[in-house]
Amino acid sequence: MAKAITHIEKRVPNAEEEQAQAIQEILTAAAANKEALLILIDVVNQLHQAGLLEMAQGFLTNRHKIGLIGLHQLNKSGAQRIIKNGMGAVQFLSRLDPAKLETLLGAVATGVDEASEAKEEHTHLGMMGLFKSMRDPEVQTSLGVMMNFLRGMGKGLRA
Amino acid sequence: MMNDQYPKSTIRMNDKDFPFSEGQSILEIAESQDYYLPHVCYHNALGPIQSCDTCLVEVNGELVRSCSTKARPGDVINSVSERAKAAQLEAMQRLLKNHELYCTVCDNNNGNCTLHNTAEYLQVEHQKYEFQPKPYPPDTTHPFYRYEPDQCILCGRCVEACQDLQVNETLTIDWSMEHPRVLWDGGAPIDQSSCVSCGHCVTVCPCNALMEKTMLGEAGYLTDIPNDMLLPMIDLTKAVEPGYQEIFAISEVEAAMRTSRIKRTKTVCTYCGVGCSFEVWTKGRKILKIEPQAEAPVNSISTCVKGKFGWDFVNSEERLTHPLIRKGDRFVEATWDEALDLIASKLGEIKQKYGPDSIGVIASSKCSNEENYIAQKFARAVIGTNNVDNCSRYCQSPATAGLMRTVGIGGDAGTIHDIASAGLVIVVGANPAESHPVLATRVKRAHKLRDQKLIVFDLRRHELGERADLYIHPTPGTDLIWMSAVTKYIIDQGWHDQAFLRDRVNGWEEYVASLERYTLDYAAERTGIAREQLIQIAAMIHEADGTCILWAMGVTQHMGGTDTSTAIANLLLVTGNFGRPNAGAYPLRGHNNVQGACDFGTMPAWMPGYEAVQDEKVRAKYERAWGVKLPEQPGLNNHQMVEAITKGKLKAMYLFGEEMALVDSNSNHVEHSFEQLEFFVVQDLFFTRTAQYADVVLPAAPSLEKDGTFTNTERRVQRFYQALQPLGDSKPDWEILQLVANRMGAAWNYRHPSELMAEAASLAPIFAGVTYERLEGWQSLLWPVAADGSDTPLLYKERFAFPDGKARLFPVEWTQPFHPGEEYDLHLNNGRLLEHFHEGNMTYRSEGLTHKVPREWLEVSTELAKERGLESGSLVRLTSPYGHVKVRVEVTDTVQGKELYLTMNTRDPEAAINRLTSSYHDKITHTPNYKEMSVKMEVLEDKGPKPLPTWNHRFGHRTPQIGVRVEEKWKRDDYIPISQVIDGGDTHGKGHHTH
Repeated sequence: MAKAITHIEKRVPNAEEEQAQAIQEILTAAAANKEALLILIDVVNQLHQAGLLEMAQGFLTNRHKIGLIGLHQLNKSGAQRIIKNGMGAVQFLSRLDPAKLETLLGAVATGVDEASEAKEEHTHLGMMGLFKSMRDPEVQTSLGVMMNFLRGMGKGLRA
Repeated sequence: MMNDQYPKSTIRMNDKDFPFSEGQSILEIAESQDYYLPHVCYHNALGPIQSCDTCLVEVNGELVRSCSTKARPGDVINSVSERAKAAQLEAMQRLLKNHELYCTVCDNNNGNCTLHNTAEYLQVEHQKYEFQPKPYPPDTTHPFYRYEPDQCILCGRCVEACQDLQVNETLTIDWSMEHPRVLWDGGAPIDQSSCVSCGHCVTVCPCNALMEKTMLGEAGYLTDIPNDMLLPMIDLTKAVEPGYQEIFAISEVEAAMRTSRIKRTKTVCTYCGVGCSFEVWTKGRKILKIEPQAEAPVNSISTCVKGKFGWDFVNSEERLTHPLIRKGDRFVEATWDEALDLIASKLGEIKQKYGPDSIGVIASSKCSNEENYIAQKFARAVIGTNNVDNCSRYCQSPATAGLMRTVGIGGDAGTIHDIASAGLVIVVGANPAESHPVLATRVKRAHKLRDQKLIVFDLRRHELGERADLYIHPTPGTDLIWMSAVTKYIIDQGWHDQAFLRDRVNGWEEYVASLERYTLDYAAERTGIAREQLIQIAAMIHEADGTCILWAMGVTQHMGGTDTSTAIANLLLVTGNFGRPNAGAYPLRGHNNVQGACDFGTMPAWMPGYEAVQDEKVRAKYERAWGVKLPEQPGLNNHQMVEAITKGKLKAMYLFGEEMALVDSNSNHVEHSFEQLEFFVVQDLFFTRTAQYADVVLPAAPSLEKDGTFTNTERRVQRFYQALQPLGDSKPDWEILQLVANRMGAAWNYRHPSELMAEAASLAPIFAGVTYERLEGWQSLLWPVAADGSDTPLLYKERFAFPDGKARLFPVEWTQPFHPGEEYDLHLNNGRLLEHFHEGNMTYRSEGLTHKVPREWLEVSTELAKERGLESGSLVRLTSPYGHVKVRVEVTDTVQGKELYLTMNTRDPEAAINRLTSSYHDKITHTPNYKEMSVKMEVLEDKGPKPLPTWNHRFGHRTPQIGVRVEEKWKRDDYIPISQVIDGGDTHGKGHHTH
């Protein structure tokens, strides 16, 4: 004879049991990953000594507030321009052929060297000197490159 | 020009030949051959909607929509020309005016966002038309999903799905509004509308305008950001965006990151017998959503509210997580060892003392095929009894018996696709729109779009009754009479299928003679159906190209349930409606696995695969395989077990996954019998009413926490996969049964359900070719399955399932329904409803479902309400000779006159229908006559709180129309055909598609 009953006595694991079980799980995992954990502890210690952990703590605790401040700043048109220009510059760079750019920049560097040497000499270059220089094949090469650049840029502007 | 150069059956697209069959659109051809054409509004389950224009291609030089343009042999198509691409891009730009691309912080960014993927394919760089928010707030009123107008691209997929696939006809887009949006019931809050929460709209939404609430803030890594942070982030992104391609790249990385933490698992629905399959998306133990897939063989993308949204029970706080043992007046949590030891010793003791037949096993039609197989093996091989049954005894056994008598197999003749393609569907004593919702959508769709004819016989004018060409209200319990009269009339008119009857059917003369008394006049008098209507029914069957008859508990739960089911089969045989497509008998199975439970042998007279227990050869086969001696005589069924308990013959019972205390008829009597058991084991997800009588309660795991197969109403076997770990200490039922069996000395070692299936397939011929490999993913098999794996979607094509291959007409007589006496003046009907399953042990664990339907209610006709001074909310007591209930009234014209209807969704015994029902039953199968009761009514309170809230779909107002009415969009002043924009002046593409 079994009457309907609804009372259930839950064998609620007490707090200590639960804790003991949790600690056991952690210890098992720790033992299995000893090497990695020891390194991690060292890294954490270094971060702590450098004061970086406290900084991260402060940042994370207040992440919503800081995020809002950051976004507010970023949403100012000046900041938007910086980001946009930054991305534009990156895109610009992505279009350049690194080999060609290297040649050009190498040439510029040599030019800079030459120019700074010339500055030390303080010689005055008159009109005649200018025309004379134009005959210099190296100067001619540079001018040719400049002319081609201007032509290309002009095309870009008119497109 | 080049037309003659190519064979008639191919088109040439982007310099590649594509074969096709007639009637296919260009987009369909491409999709079927895995060739990508951009599109947003087209969905293969919905067909062309023509609202987005992103699928524009050049066909022989003309810009047309590939979704709606039928291919002609030799067509030359270009989807990648400058002109086609410009047209597609323009279309996408128009969509993006309505949609902000913040994909990385969007919960729909899961790799399957149609809008995202199409925009990326079209290489959208910048917004051509500025995004314009719509002047409407998001609608978050509904418990399960929300609509965000600002993200809605007005593609119309949701409207198409609601109007023409689900056919609930709630959603529209009003193209005459200045800012069109999707409307529910023409402009009601979603929660207050006629929305049945089936989820079709959310499933087909190509972006994040319609989202499951369980996804919001959960799916993405960055989607839980509060609005005060999110909105400035979106502003910033828009202000500095270099172009969308970079943004897409980031969002794709984010989507890829989600794949490792959102698990997608194919499962099969655990509710009704339709057998919907879909993916369940989980994150840890959280169920993020149900994601239907077009590949699902039964339902494609369709779901009902329970399948789409009703899964909260899995993670319910109330789940049993430890075994419980009765100690005095309380249950005490125990370890598995303690519980198993106790069960083994008690069952062993009782078996020894009273013999194996003093123990009974009640199996579950909610559990898998493998679990039912192991349960019957446990009963037969370990305990040594055939006392094993499942809940089909309460519902479907008469249908099975009626079919086995006439055509030989107790299952649906064909598939849901045959029902959808039938010329005429007759529904008798069933409410598919609520009890088999996805199956009903196919009938509603065929009726709405294809002019399929529909006749409904029911006491209630339910949804299908409303929609039917002919709704007929017969006198309760007289279906056999009209069926016989209609059959006789058909024969008298010479409309019967003579060749079919001659070649394939036995028993003609005896059967015709048995019909003699069923004249139209006799039938009209007994059934209350007019002569003219009976003739009309006969004529409709005669004229139809294929008739399917669907029936359920309104037929079977009578004392003559088997005979009426037989009459259905007789009618179909006489008219040649077996063994051909789009016709036949379809008993609608109620539980997800009621078919499978029977198929796999949890029946007192049948071994798995319907081989008789009494057949010596069959027993010998199993005895060899199992290495035991098997009991020779059929055992007790559910009903007989209860009787045997009261007679002191059955001493112990092992029951799993069944709320017998509430769902068996005359529950006072059943509960009283449980009290007399010496030992009672109940295995369930929850501490049920039945469990209250148990000595040991074992915690089981639901379908999402295990592997297995279910067999739906079509006889289709489908696999489901484990999505979650069993909760707490709960275990899958098959594991528990194996543990118990082994404690009792069985030494079984099944490591996976596939091993149980392999064993069943090796023993039961109808499952010979069933293997887990053949059921991988979305594949399914409809039994009988031959050893080579070929299955049988349509039964009886060549032969009926009798030794001579011929069907048998089986004469039947009408049984007068039970009536308790004159003083019980009101007829009481009862049944299921859409939002809850059965008594609600699973569905009440869902806050959203309970919000929609908090409790049971009693439907009272307007006439009766007037006569007795009742209104919605009145409290009444109903009394039958077997008990009484207290329930609140809902006045409705769904029922008429002195007929009442009590919904069965209650866990409160004070309101449970089976306090009223009797222990009378079908003569053949012992299925209780739940549908034969009359009661008297006493008014307890004139006024009171209404049982149904106003936010229930039953109070909504549908807005039927065909599709989204895209023509009205094209008529708007601001709509300029894209070809006009691209080519200037040309107006192609405006509603003119076939050339």
